Amino acid sequence: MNKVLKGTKTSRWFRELNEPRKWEDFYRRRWQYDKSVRTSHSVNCSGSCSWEVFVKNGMITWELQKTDWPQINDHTPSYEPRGCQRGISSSWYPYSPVRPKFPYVRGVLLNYYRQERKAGKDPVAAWAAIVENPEKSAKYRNARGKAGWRRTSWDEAAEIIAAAKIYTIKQYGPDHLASFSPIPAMSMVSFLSGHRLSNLLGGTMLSFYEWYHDLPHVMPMIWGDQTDVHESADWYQSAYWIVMGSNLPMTRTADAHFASEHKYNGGKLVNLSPDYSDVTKFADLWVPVRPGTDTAFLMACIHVILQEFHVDRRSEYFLDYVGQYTNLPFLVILEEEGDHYGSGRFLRASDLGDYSDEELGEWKFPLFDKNGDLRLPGGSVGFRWEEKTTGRWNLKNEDARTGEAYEPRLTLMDGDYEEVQVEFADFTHTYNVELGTTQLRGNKATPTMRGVPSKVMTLADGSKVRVTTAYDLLLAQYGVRRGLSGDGYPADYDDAERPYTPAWQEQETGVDRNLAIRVAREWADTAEKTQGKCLFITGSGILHWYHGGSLTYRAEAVMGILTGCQGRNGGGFAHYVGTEKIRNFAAIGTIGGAADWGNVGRQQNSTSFFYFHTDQWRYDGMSLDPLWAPRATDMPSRANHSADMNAVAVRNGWLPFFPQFDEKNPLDVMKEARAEGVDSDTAVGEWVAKKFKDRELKFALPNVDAEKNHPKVLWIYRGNLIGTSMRGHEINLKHMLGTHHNVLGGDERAKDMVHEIDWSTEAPLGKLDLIYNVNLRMDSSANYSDIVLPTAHWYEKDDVTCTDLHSFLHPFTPAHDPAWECKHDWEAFRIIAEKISDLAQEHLPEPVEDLVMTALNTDTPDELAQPMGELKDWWKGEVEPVPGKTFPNVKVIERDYTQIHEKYTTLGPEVTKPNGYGAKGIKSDLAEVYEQLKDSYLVGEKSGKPSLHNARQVCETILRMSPESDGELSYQIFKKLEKRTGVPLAHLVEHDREIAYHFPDLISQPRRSLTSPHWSAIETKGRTYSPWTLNIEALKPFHTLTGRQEVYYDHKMFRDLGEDLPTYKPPVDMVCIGDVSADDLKMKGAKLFRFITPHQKWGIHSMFHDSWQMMNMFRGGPTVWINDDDAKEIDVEDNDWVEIFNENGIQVARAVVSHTVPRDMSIVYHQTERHVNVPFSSLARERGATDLRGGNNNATTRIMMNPATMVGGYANWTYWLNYQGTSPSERDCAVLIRKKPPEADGRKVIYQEHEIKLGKG
Amino acid sequence: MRIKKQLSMVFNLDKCLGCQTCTIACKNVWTNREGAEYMFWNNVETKPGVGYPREWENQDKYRGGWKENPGQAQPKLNQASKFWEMINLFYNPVLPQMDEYYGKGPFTFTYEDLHSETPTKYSQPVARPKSQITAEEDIDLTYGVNWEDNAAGTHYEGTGALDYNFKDMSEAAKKALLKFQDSFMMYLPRICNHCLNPACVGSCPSGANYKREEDGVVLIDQDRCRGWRYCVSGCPYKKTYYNWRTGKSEKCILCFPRIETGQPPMCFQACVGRIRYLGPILYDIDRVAEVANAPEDKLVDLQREIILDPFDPEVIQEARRQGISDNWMEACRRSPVFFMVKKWKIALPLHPEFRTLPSLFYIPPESPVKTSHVDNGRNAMDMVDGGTVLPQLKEFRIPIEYLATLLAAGNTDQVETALLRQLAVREFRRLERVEGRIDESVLAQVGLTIQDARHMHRLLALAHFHERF
Repeated sequence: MNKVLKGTKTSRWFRELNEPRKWEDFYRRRWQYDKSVRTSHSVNCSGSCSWEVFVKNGMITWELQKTDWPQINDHTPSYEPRGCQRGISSSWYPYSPVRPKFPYVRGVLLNYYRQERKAGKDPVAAWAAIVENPEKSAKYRNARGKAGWRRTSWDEAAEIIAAAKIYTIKQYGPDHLASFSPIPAMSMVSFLSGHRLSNLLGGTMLSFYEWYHDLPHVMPMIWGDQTDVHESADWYQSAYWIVMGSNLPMTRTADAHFASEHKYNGGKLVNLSPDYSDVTKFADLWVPVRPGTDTAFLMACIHVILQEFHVDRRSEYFLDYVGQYTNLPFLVILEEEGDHYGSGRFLRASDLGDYSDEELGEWKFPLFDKNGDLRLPGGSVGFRWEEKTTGRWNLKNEDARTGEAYEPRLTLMDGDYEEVQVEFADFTHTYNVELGTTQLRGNKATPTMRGVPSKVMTLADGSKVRVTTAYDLLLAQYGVRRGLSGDGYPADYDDAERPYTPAWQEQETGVDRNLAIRVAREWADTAEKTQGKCLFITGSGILHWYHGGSLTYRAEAVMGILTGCQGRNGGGFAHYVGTEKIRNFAAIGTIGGAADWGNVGRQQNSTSFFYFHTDQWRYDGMSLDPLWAPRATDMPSRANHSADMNAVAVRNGWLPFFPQFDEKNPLDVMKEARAEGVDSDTAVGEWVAKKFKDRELKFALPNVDAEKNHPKVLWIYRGNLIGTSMRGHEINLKHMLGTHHNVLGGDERAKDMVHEIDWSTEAPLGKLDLIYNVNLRMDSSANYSDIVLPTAHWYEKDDVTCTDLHSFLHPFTPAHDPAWECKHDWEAFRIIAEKISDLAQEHLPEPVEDLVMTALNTDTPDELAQPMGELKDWWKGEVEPVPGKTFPNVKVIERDYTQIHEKYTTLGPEVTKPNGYGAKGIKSDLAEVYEQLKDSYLVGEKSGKPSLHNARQVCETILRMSPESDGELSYQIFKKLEKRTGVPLAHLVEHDREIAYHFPDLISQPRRSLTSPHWSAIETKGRTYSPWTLNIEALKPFHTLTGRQEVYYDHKMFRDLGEDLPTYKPPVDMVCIGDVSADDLKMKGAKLFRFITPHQKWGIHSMFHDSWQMMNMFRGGPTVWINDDDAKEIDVEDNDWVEIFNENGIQVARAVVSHTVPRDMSIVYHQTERHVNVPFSSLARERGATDLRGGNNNATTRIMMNPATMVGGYANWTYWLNYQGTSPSERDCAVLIRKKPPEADGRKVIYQEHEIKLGKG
Repeated sequence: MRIKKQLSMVFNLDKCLGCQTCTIACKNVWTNREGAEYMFWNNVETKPGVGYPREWENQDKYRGGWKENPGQAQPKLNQASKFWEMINLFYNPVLPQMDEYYGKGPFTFTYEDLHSETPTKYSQPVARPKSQITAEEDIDLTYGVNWEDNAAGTHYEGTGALDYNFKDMSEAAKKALLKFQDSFMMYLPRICNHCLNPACVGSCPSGANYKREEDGVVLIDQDRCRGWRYCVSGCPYKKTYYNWRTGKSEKCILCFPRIETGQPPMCFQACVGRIRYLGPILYDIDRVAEVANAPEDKLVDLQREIILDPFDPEVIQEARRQGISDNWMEACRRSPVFFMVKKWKIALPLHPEFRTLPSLFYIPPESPVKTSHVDNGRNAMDMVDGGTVLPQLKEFRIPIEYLATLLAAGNTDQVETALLRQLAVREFRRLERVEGRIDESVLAQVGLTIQDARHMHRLLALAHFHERF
């Protein structure tokens, strides 16, 4: 080394330029490549990033983010570089050892099938011979998940699948088929494939959004839309963020840069999080609330905001906003209950003599103006669905009858009033926030009395009712002091006894009252000064709690509403879970639902589907008692268990359920109807309803475990249903799949609690005849399937992608053809469609009629089905069963199974009919576009129709069909909509009329979506996307009951739940409802933990979490994070193996001991799957489980359904796939954790079966 | 004055997400091959923690970098003495062992088990852990490149207490910072610093390591390297690695094949937190040795001093005389690094006391305000102080001393200036956007002008691709 040191003093580190440095070419050559393409990834992460993929010697080598995103405007940071650690590792997958490269069938099944075929049976007969043989049937089911693969051809695999489907359709009905694929936005064409096939067959289309618990239930409830949120560039406009339940750097990696950048722009970041999370790192203030108690903190904030900004000082901005854009000025009838009152339904135009001539008066809502005069504003759902529009569906502060302008009166205290005492519900003590300390199965809520100003009104029938405003009820609910009497009002902020003071929240959250006061003041002050630039960024950390989507989210939303933040750039409620926003919404709904062929889809909310079909309902020991308000009488008497409530919901058209008929094939039922001479569709509906009334037809649900009511064929693609999203995974393995499992508890937790479902049927083992999977990884879904079909990697595909987090559309393009025998999903299902059509020639040669029963549907006149927000159950004789009103919709669909392939590959003509095309109830037609598509060189023609033969044709068709990518189409639909709103809208897109994106345009550069009649933001002229700006600025109503933002929910279900107004309910104590056994609680060396499963850093769900790159970025397999003091208690050191368990199953993982995790909480970042580095469990052997390996992080969770998510048939509370419905809420979970005992030979763990010594620890 | 050109870098730690996109971007292109499995030319560590390899900052253990050589013109290598060199020629005791990088080596898994034709009996098959280096299966995983991610295992009884940057703190203070209540966490992304006084070059017995004349990139000539590995021990940042397959050492090359074609390095372009800035600076190489040998408390200021001002007419004239092109000068005037390091003083070198004069500078991160214990529940917290919407310097959770040990050889003033100026820009923008007024005084207090504030805002927040690189 001295030689170098002795060089000349000033340049000793340099090598002179004249010295040859040829060796440097070594690295230059490594960098060289042959070509690159623009493409993306299709994972459920909301990323929708644009990537450049490099190809060298014909092989994909690596990827790097594209940085050419168009700039939205000059004062906002751009989206480059968009893409994260996971995305940049995906070039491993195309050639990875985890990829299935050929079609596979499990050996047991394949042998049976080949034997039958060899014996001369045709495919359908061969399939029948296997599934109808109990021994064979059990054997191949029990082989699920246990390798034993055989390679086969596409032809043979497709034949088995087609045979199983044809058999099922004939034997049980098409409703026994089910398709699962999540999240269209991440790769639209791929998504459409399997569902289009399913819908053409009449199969059940399973939802994913609320099943993933990604649906923010408050969105449809408050704003009447599935979800509509800010693109992340809009966050930058904000001046104050509260981030809760959303770990931005971990899960919104590509968007997280806006966190710091917004701070440099003068913003502040507050973070509510139990642990010191990644986003806490970016916070100015960290509020470490106890897990699951976030609502309490926000309730206190709202208490302070209302007190200081609405009452003590009336902020003009806030009050004007609330008066015009919310339902708070509307009048609520107070129900007399002895010496006091309770909240009731809204007063309707139909209640009053003055408005008796209003069409749909039950759906129009009067209020008082500033002078105390009665007014009837336009904009409510009644104006929306007028038979012949009067053009008054708008948000003008204008009397719809007279056209006079008015200002709404928010509180009756501004005029003459009479104070009465109203009963409110306090749920504080229903469950203890300290897990495992609640007595019995939880406690009932307690009543609390508060004075409310009221007025007596005379109704049309001469009777008198007492009313108040929803705003007055809100202020009373929050205990805002304004001189009214009542024991329920707190003395001051320090009153800890009465909800929802800052001192009260302290007991729940463990956070000092001053923090709540401070955050409230800063938020409101900023919102007032900036006209609403305060933002909630939130996600699954909140949503996945039992009350997350309904109550915590609601508190966030309402805090934003009361401070005028919704519909403002940089303000409001922004929830990010799931890549839910399909900007090309109408096109996707049409093609996926096969609506272009006139299909009515069997849309099924997956949570209920799996709750029942995996038999998790039997394991649900939760009574609904702690959820009801003390004054609730109606709903609790109807059902007091989630399973029962779901059954009630189904029969009244609130929720769907398939298979639909008890032990009957809908094709046969339809034949019966025709045989009985029923002709018209309406008559069929009446016939069905009568059969039900007479108990001659029944729903399958109450007899769900009967063999004929099982789903029979399930296909999964583009998602990992079995591994990742199946809460109650082990229970599912046991009952739905019929294979090994490590469920520890018995299946009778719900016994004696359930009355609507027949308990007598034994819990079946192995319901599905066939489960097949189109996949690019051998993950759990593949592993537990009977057939695996290899799909193209994203770098081998044409497709289109988008997200809610940016406002662009961009493509997938292939770097090379799919390797080995892999195929694009579109092609895979086309091959199956062709096989089905072939087999149908023999088995279903003639068109048949299918009787489809769907739930009452949102954004249709079904919204008016059940007025007054009351349930009248036909089953109990309270009303007559009327399809589409008090009973599900009944539709007759003709199916020609020989034509499935033809229909799959062409765009059907239904879209050319008047109102034959659209979304969200905003309809038009595609007559012109249809002709253009046939002429398009990119699409072309097949049998006189636009061709959908290959994926690229579908890409182009989607773009051409979408107002978001075709300005003229957007303009035309807006023009039509104007007739109903009576306010101008089309001018918003005048500027865009020349714009039409084609697929090659997207390949050259991402293209920004256009302002659309199907969405709620004004995006033109460089505005970042912020939801509801169109509603707030252009006065187009929300798709809700009152047309305004619904703060007060007047449906009876919510009043009985005490959720008519925002409230707080503590997290469920899952110990007291039996998910942790009393014996195990006493186990030495085991400790009770809250079990939290947030999204992870090294994978998107399970994707990427099996690549060696991501595995090396942390500890290479499943881990559980616990606090250092807790670890000490159970003698666990960092990196020790532990067992995590409860009655539902066992997981084995290594402990990550960290002081950044609070005590009593364990975190398993999901989804760590089970196929990488999971050893055998000692406990499973001790307990004699049939599955000896540790489960995944869903081993211990279980589906828990909240009745608040079951309401239907009522304005915006009406079902639509992924819009409404139950969610599994796994976050309240409780587990025990113990150190895993060593193996007999002293090793920490073993992985291989030959090392197992059964019965030993 | 001899003017040299240097491609220089700033990482804004306030913006770092700890996501490792940079790590993978680099890995895929450069070290995804046999012999390089454990090499992470770019890695990101969580602080508190001991990092990769374990305790790399602890030069008592590794003897990397330089030490002050009072009375001499230049510092001396920490590991170099005639005697030491002689006895350790064939066995270098301060080289990190594989265990300090990775237990049994970087891991992969037996993925082929998943496709097996053989059925299993009791459970589904899994891919078992396997060493990428020895191919041993069913191995224990005990350490890795990001083992301490998000403060994993870094509680007081864990590795956290070994964090070098706690060295001047009392046990009680350290203990408190490694408990839930007072915890903090930050990320530290690291690549080769392409130092002005590189210890790896100084240590190489074969003369294989060198700085490129044209851009200052430090390379190891793969033809000349003899695998002595003195660069590995000499680099105090442990950013050179020995390739067991080729028998040569390798290190970050700042993606020179990309730089030569006008593209930023992979890890820079891939940085999704947009924390990375690349730009040329000019410095006076005649003063490097002297500055590297300066007393600790002067190191940061002196390093700034030898960075030349490309707006200074004298510098411009002299640079032109020495043959530096006008385009280079123009680039230096646009260089974000110049502004952040020299003009605004918001970016600081990592462990300047290692005396290698890194060309990579870090903007210290803000952190959530401290909260105090209130005796009304397990996690109850209240603000310690405050009253302003935006935080005050004294409220930050990460102790200034900790950051100063990391980035300023213990000099807290340097860190305070950097943080105060960031805060001032935030406050200025907040007043402008929320209160609707332009307030110069908040800037003047920390020595900034409105023009500075606008420029800082532009670079720290807006900073489009071509502004960052």
